[in-house]
Amino acid sequence: MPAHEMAVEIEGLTKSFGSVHALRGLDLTVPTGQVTGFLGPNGSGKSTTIRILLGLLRADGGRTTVLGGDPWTDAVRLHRSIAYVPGDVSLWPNLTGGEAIDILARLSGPLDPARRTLMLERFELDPTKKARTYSKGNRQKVALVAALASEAELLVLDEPTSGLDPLMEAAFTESILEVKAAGRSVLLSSHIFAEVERLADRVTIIREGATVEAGTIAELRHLTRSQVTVGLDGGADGLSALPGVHDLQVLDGHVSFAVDEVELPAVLAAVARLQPRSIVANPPSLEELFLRHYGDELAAVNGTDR
Amino acid sequence: MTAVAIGTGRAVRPPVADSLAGLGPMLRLVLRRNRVRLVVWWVVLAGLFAYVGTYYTSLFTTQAALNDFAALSNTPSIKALTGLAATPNTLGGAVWTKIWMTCALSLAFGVVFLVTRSGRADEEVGRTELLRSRMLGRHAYSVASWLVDAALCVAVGAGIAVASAAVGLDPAGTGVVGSLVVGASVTGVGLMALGVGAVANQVAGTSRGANALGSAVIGAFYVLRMVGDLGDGRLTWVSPVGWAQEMQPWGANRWWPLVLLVVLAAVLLAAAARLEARRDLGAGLLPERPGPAGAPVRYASPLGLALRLQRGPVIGWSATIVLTALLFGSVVQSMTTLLSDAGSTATAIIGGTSVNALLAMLGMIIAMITTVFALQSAASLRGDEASGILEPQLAGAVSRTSWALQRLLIPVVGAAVLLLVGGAGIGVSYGAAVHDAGQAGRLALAALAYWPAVMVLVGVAVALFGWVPRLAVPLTWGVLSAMWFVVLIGDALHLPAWLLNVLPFSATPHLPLARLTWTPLVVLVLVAAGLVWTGLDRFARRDVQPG
Amino acid sequence: MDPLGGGRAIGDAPPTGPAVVAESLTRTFGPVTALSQLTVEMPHGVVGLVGANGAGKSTLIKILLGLLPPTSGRAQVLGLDCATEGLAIRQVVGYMPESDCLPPDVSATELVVHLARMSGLPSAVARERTADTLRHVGLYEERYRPIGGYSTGMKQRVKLAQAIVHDPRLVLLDEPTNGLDPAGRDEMLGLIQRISTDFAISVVVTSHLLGELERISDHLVVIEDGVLQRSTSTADATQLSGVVLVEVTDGVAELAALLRAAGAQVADDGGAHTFTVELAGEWVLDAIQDGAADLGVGLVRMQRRRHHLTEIFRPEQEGAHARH
Repeated sequence: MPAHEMAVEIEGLTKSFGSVHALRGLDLTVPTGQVTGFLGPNGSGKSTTIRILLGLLRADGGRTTVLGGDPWTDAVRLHRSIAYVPGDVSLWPNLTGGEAIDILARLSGPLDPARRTLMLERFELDPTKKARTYSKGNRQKVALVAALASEAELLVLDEPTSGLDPLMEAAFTESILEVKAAGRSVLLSSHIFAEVERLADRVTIIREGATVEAGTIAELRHLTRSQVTVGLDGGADGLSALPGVHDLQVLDGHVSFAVDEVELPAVLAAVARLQPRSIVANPPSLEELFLRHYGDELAAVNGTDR
Repeated sequence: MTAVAIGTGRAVRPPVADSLAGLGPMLRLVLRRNRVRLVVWWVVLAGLFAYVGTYYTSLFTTQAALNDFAALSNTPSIKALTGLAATPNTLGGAVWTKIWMTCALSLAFGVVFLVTRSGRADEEVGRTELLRSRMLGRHAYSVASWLVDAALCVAVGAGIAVASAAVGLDPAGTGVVGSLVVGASVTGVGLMALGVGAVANQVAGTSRGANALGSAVIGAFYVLRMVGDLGDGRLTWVSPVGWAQEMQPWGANRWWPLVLLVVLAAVLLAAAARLEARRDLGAGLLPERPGPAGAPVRYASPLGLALRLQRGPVIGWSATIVLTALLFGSVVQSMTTLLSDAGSTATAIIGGTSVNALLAMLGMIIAMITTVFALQSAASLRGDEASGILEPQLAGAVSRTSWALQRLLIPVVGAAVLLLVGGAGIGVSYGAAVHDAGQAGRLALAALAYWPAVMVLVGVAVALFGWVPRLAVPLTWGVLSAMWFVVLIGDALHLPAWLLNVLPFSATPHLPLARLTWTPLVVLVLVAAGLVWTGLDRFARRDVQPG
Repeated sequence: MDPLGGGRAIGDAPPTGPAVVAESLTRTFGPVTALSQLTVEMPHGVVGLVGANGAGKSTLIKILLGLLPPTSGRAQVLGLDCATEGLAIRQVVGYMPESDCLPPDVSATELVVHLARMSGLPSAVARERTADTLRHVGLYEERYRPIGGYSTGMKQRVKLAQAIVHDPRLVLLDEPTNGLDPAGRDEMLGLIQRISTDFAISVVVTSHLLGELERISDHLVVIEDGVLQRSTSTADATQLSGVVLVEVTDGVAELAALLRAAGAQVADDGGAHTFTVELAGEWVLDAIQDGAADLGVGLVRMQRRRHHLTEIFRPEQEGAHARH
């Protein structure tokens, strides 16, 4: 069992490139044995954070601990226990995918040949092709197979599925769950919310280099409202008056409204008494959480657009 | 399910005229994307010729001075490096001896790189596909780039001819024939290189490969003519660069070798067009074949991996060195016969030990080729960082310093091996002619004396990598080019003697002509070590900077 | 409106016939078969071309553009033969490649004007159309800066703009949403939809993200390992199935048992609080509501379910992958 309670602990991390402040006091924790989702739009500082965690960039300020060590000074020791999948995977063009997998995996530690074979099958990757001929998705598979076939304690995955097709995303989900079951830790950066929602125990959302939200998925859900759509033959009498119901709209026999999380059971009970044809109550997805955080930014963009 | 060919398939081909559709817009695009490069090449090459022409005109004001210069130039070293003008004791001949080879070869390499830039390089990143998705014929982009590059060759030749005539290199009463011939001969070399580059771009599957192949062919032509010039002159005719030399401006003023060069260029371009018509967009000539499904454990160390990745270049450079060295060695004997025939005056000029002077110069050329290999290998540090492949390597359990040092073992040890092999090659081949088996060991050690000098340049490359990573690769090659430039025409640039003398290659004792002195070698090694240390120290402290 | 004058091989009459026809199309690269006996028709409108990495999508697009000769078989785009009439096809077709292929040293305006002129537009028209098109895709002041400094999203917009600048009748878009974040992806999909609806340009778009294609496509073509799996309208592919998804706050097992007892077909859905019920009749809906009320559990969701595209992607594997 690893000795550290937290695989990654970051507090107040700052990093500038010239006059550009990429990170402005970012906080992030990855508890040991858990999958932590790391969300943010392109350019918000996810990759910069990850590259600091790997000792590829030097932090300007803040405290960063990875597996109990300093990512910059203890890099070599730490890297024996870390597997990394970059967001944009470069490979050696004239080596085959299979060669690249072996090299990448063994650079940090031993390689489990059985898992390598299993992962190659699962991700349907032909290891005899030259990396030059691989698409972005296939290059990503190479890095994923290498990371998953290693025995690393911490997996750092930077947007690992951005080029994969959905069947591969299923294979990815399965593999990450196995990693988690083995007690290993995963930091998963993404902008595919469904993926994080499915896999992550905790989520950290960042924006412009600073953490804006962090917690378990359930904790974050409490922060917002469920959207309910009910198919009704009769009227929606009284629904709008119930506590916690907002923005009620009636359209062609469908009633839709938003409900505060705490009032949801009472409201649903009231709806059931109206004999509905259908009820859909969607818990807020991370996408909505995300839009809530970046909504003003999007509004600004759309304002110039339309 | 078996694949049965039905339908018309390949039977119907598009009309030929279509293959050039869109040529006009492509010419504009090639000019737009290369406008700075084209102007720089033109200004540098025509300007260089004009500068040396002007300088020599002011320097050699009497025929006696020109005669002295001609006598001093008639050495094996000059003949090997730059060739000797047909009439070295004329003003034009002096300028030709000094600068013609530099201009012609620079243009040749420049044209190869320009062809690749609009050829394989664009094809590699899918840019050609984007263009071809418009109304663009199969050959339109290539032909547009060839036309622009051919225009550069003509413009450089014209610039040189005009500069030459304006400076007044033509003797009175000959009009400007010599100036026209010298300009045309440079154009001819450029056009030949255009053909070579065009074929290389079709054959090689990557832009790196295309540049390497094209440069290697030009380099081989240079070496062939060198061997020819040192020998009885027959081999000079084997090399297209030699054809251009044999146009002999201000001498025989021959035009017909230009026809040979133009015909060769046309044949090569036609071959390139044929190849382009037959292959798929984005593909090389050979189909991709499956490779090994796994890697041996040794690839997991930076050294093991670097050995695997640089296997091709190492083999290529070794073969180049061995063949060049054997060729060199084989002409030393006939050269000395010529020298002894020439009598005591000639031998006096080069120090009386004519064989040793020649051997020392050939050893230096081996060292220069070795330097290109070593710098290419050292530049791969930055190459890995720029392409993004460094990050996953450093995410492994290896320190930055260890990674870089292991990678540097290849240029460090490789350069020593290449120098030994090259020197030994000259020795074996020369020793066979003079029945002296001891030459191999003696000349191998003589060539090894250049190892500290090569290491200083490797040190410069590493220091640049550490301190200015984004500029490291162009600056590394810039330093090497500047050094060669200074060695070749330093006197014309009015550079102080001490500066010329501290350059690594000048500071090295030129064995076996000179005596072995340890001090400069030890100093060079210390300088090299210091440069490597500062570069690696900085690399260990700085951010990794891809792209 | 038609700046191309007589250059067009086909008039501007409303599209009739299929946009793309492939007959027994086969393409091999050495030992590798990229496309095998592909026979398919794609209608006008938005066609989604679905396939895993390496399924042969890009090969098909290059054959359709006339850039790659097929090994055997034939293909037509807008009635033009791909093997012999490549130039005519490329005059009326736009193409957005997948690769990051924009030259870094020129501005978006310069590049798109140039490409427009290469499609036969006169200089003045090319400039005007470029300005319009770049504005349409949402590039403003940036369009005079070198492309090297653009973000991924901006580069994708430039690639889209150059594909439509010459007012083509069909555009082939290869993975247009690759590398974009959710907001960027939504905007790109919106742009693609408007190309079809506002400009009446037919679209063939590839993606490996099925949800996207479901949203914007009228027709779907699924290929795998170079073999056609399915060609169908999106409506047919995702038609209502006779299944209701039920989600409750608690008591899943009890409610499922109750429904089984009432004669309904109940299946595990994999979720902790969800299951599915075959919709054998209206009575099933009543039974669900009554059962939930009787057990006193909260009914969170009761939803007729459409087949998701991931399910048609490889239908035979669905059963094998179901968790029990």
